[in-house]
Amino acid sequence: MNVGEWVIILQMGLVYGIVTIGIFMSFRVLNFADMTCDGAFVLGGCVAAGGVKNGLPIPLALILAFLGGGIAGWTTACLHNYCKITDILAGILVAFMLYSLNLRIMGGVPNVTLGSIDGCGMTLALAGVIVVWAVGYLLMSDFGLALRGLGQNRHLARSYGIPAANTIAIGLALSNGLIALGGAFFVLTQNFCDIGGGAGTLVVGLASLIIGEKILSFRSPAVAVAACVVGSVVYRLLIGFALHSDVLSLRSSDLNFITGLLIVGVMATRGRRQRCYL
Amino acid sequence: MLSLKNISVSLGGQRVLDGLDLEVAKGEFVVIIGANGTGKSTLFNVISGTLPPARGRIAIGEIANNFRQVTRVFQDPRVGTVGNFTIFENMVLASNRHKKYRLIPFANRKRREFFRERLATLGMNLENRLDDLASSLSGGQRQALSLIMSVLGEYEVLLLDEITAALDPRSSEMVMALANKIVSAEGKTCLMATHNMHHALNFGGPLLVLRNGKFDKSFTGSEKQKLSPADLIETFICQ
Repeated sequence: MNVGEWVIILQMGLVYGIVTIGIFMSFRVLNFADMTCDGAFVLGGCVAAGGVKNGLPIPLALILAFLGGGIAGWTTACLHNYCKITDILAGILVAFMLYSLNLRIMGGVPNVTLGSIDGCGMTLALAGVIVVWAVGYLLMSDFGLALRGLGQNRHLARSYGIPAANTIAIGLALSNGLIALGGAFFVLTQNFCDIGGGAGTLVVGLASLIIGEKILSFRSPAVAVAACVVGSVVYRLLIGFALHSDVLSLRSSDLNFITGLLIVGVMATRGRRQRCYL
Repeated sequence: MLSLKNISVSLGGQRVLDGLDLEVAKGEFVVIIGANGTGKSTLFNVISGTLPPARGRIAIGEIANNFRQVTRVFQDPRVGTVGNFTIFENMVLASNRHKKYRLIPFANRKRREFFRERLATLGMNLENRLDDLASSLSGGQRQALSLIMSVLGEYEVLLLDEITAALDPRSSEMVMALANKIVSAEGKTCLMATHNMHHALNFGGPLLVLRNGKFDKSFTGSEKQKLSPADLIETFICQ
C-alpha cells in the first residue's frame, strides 16, 4: 500500500470512528437497537453538502449536520416513547422517511459533487478528539451513569427516578447527531454526496465496535469510547489488507460478505451476553 | 404519613384491589401478608406510583401522589441492583434518586468514603469491594446491597416486597435481620410484604392480612405477640 492509501485508511477510520461512537451510544449504553443510523448518516452528508454549496463555513455546516441527526434520533425516541413503536421499527421508519427528506435537501438529485475542500483532514482529526473526550466525559458523569443505568435495568431506573422517555430521547439525539456528523465528514472528505451512501453504515459501525471491544476490553466507558475509534481504524486496515492480498483475490464488492462473516464470527465465539442486542 | 383511601385497581378485567383503605403513621413498620394473587405487589406498585389506581386517593406525608418519597426493595436482587455496574456505581445511581442529573464526574473521594461507611455497617466486607461488579456478589450480599441502596437517597416510605423470597434460609435470615436493623435505625415508615410467617410475627408492628382486594384482618403489635405461625397459616386456609 502507498502513502495515499494509508491516509485514506486513517481518514475513513476516523470518519467511521465517530459513527461507531454514535452506534455505541444507542446499542451499548442505552441498549436500544436503533436502525435510524443509515438514514442519519446520509442526512448529515446532505446537510453538509447543501451547506457548503450555499457558501456556509465548514464548522457551521458540520454543526447543522449534527443538529439534523439529533432531530432524527429524537424523532425515533418519540415514536418509541409516545407511539409505543418497538425500538427497531421506530428506527427503520425514521430512516425510511429520511430518504425522501434527504432527496429534498439535495434539491431532488440523487448525488451532488463538491469542489475540493482544504483543511478537512485537520478538522476531522480535531473533531475526532473533541468527540472522544466529550462522550467519554459525559459517560463518566452522573448523567452518563443514569444513561447506562437505564440501558441496563429499566425497572431499577424507574424506581430510582430516572425519567426514561427524556433520557432515551437525549441519548438517541446524541447518538444520531454523531452519526450524522460522521456522514458530513464522509461527504466533505470524499467531495461527493450520494443518496445511497448510507447503506450498511450500521453493519460497518457494529463491526468496528466489536473489533474495538476485542482490542481494548476494559470496563471503563471512557476507554470504550476510544475503543470505537481504534476498532474503526483497525477495521479499515483489515479491509485494506484483505483487498490487497493476492492470495485471497477479493474484490471490493466482496466486502459486505466478509464484514458480515466477521461480525457473526466474533459474536458466535463471545459467549452469552445478558439482555444485550449485540 | 401514608394514607390510602378507597383504592381500586383492575388488571385484565379482574378487580385486584377493591376499595382498599390504609393509614400508616410516621415511623410505623407494618407487615402485610396474603396469598399469591391477593394484590400485595399491586398495592406496592400503587404506593410507589408505577400503577395509577382506577379510583382512590394516595397521600404521602400529607401530599397527594408524592411518590418521590417512596423507595422500594424488590424481591429479586437482580432487579434491585445493576449486575453490570460496580458496587460503587450502583450506590451512586441510588444516591442520586430523583435528583437532577448533573454533568459532574460521578466518581469522587467523598462519595467513596461515604459509601464505604454505609457498607461497613453490613459487616460483609463489601466496603473493600467497591469496584467489584454487583453480579459477582452472592444473592444475599446483592440483596443487602439493594437494601442499603434503597435508603441512600431522601425518602419517607420504604417498601419491602418479599425481599427474602429469592434467598436461601441462611441469607434470608441475614437479610431480614439487616432490614429490621435499617428500619429501626432510620425511623421511617415501612411496609413489608412477606410469605414468611416467622418474619411476619417476629418483625415490625401491626400485621395486616390482604384478601379479595382489601384488608380482611388486622392485628396490632401486641395482639401479634400472642399469635403463632400456625394461627397465621390458618387465616390463609380458612378463606
